[in-house]
This record gives sequence, C-alpha cells and structure tokens, in this order.
Amino acid sequence: MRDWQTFVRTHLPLTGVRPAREARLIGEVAAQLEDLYRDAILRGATDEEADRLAREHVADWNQLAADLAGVDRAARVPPIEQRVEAAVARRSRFRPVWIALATVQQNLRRATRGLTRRPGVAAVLILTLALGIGANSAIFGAVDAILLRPLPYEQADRLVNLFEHNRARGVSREDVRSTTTPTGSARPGSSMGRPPASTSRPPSPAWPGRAGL
Amino acid sequence: MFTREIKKGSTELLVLSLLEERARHGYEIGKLIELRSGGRLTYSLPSLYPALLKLEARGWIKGRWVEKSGERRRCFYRLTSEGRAVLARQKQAWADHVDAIKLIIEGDHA
Repeated sequence: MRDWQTFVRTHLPLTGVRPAREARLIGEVAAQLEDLYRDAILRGATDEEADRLAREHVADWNQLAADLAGVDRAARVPPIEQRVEAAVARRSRFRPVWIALATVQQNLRRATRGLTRRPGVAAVLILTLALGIGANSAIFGAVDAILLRPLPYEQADRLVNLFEHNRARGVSREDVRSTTTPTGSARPGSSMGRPPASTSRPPSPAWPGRAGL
Repeated sequence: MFTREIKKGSTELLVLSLLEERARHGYEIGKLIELRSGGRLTYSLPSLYPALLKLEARGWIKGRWVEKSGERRRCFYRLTSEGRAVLARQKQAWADHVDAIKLIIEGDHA
C-alpha cells in the first residue's frame, strides 16, 4: 500500500501554515485517503483500482490547500473585534474594571503590532511626540519661572510696587521711598513694601497728584 | 440531484447532527451522510474537511487525535457545549424554513 502521508505531503502545497498545523492537516487528509483506499478494497476493488480511486479523489490539490490555509489563517488571527469580545466575555463574570483593562490590553497589543510592522512610521511618530513634549516642557518652564512662580518673600502675594505721578508738575517717580500712600506706607529704602491696613492715611494736599500700586 | 448551494447551506447542520450522538472522524462523517441520505447526499474530502475545520475554528466542534487498539491514529471530532446550542438553534431554524417552503410550493389546496 502507498505511503499516503508522503503522497499528500508532495501534492498539498500548504503555504503560510504553522508546521504543527501543517502536520495535522497532512495527517488527516492522508488518513481519509487511506480510509477511502481500504473501503474500496473491502468492496472488492483491486489494489490498483483502490489506489487510483483514492489518488483521484482530490481533483484540485491547489484549491484544497487554499481552502485549508484560509481556514487556518482565520482561526489563527481572528479580527481584533472578535478578540476583544472574547476577552470581554471571559472576564464578564468579573467587575467592570477588568472589562476595561481587557479592552486596554487589546488596544495596546494592536498598537504594538502596528508599530512593529512599520518601524519607519513608528520612528517618525515617536520623534514628533518627543519634540512636542520637549518643546512644551521648555515653554512651560520659562512661563513658570517668569510669571507663575511666586517671588521668594514671605506672603509674596501681598507685595506692592509703589509709584507716584503729579499731573500738574508733569513729574512721575517710580522709586518711591518713605512715602505715605493712600493704601499704606513703604519701608524706607525700598520701593516695595507691605501695605498694613491700620496705617493708611489720605494723600497729602501738598502733593496733589496720584499715587498708586 | 441537489444543487451545490443547497448542499453547502446544510453542511453545518448535517455535521453537527452526526456529532451529537458521539465523536466521529472525518471519513466516518462523510460515509454516514451518504448512508443515511440513501446515497442522495455525498460529500468529497475537499468539500467536507474544510467545513469541519471551520466548525472547529468557531469552537462548535473539537478535534482530538485518538489511537485505539488495533486501529490507526485518527482525529475524532466531538460536539462542544457551544456547538450543541448552535445545533438546537439550527434544527429549529431548518424546520421552520422547510415548513414555510412547503406552505408556499404546495399551494392552497384547502
């Protein structure tokens, strides 16, 4: 009797099928052809007749190989939606947080596969992200240092900058020292000071201008 | 006798029905279909085997290599619990379909 494993292996052009799977497919087709052969012998056929019957049972080996490989591909890599559904179904008896984690896990796997499939695109994406994040960090650092971070003084939010302006004389002074303002007094020798509420006095009539903060 | 479309549409139900009784191998399934249909329905290996693999990929049947004493090693397929539920639905759907077709093609003889 013919070695049906060898016969099928030489006739069935399986491509893109995992070796273990290929061995199973070849083994099963060979077993069925052998069954066909033995059945023909039992029905009274000669060895040659039975062999021809089994050999000619598969008319188009290429079509059979394509069909089997197609089923294998579909079984091996189900669409991502099916995988998510399966993962969700597996975890449906758990809390919703596991369902969310399963979805995140599937998304991460999909993203990783996509990135490894196109390393050039991945490199450009990562570089763009890195530059964007770096530029944003630098700008925020500058804005924070200049505008947002408080000055290194106690109760920095209460610091004031004093100036005065005399419209009649057309004089302005940015550097006001030991001068009483409508809202408080500055300490001598400093243009900035703390405005205590208890010491505020009205502006002097000798200086009919404007003082402000 | 039967068109390719009719055969193709009923393959799943036939295979699942035969596996409802017990686990069987591929050649046995093909022979049983031929035997029980009185030779009117025949499936060759190229049409039946991919169908079996599709059912397995869907999780409706499960194949396992078994080596019985005095026999060759064969892949036996058994029905899974999911396959059993699918079979029950398909049986009902086919019965309803056949009833509906009969009502139409036999006409109103009342």
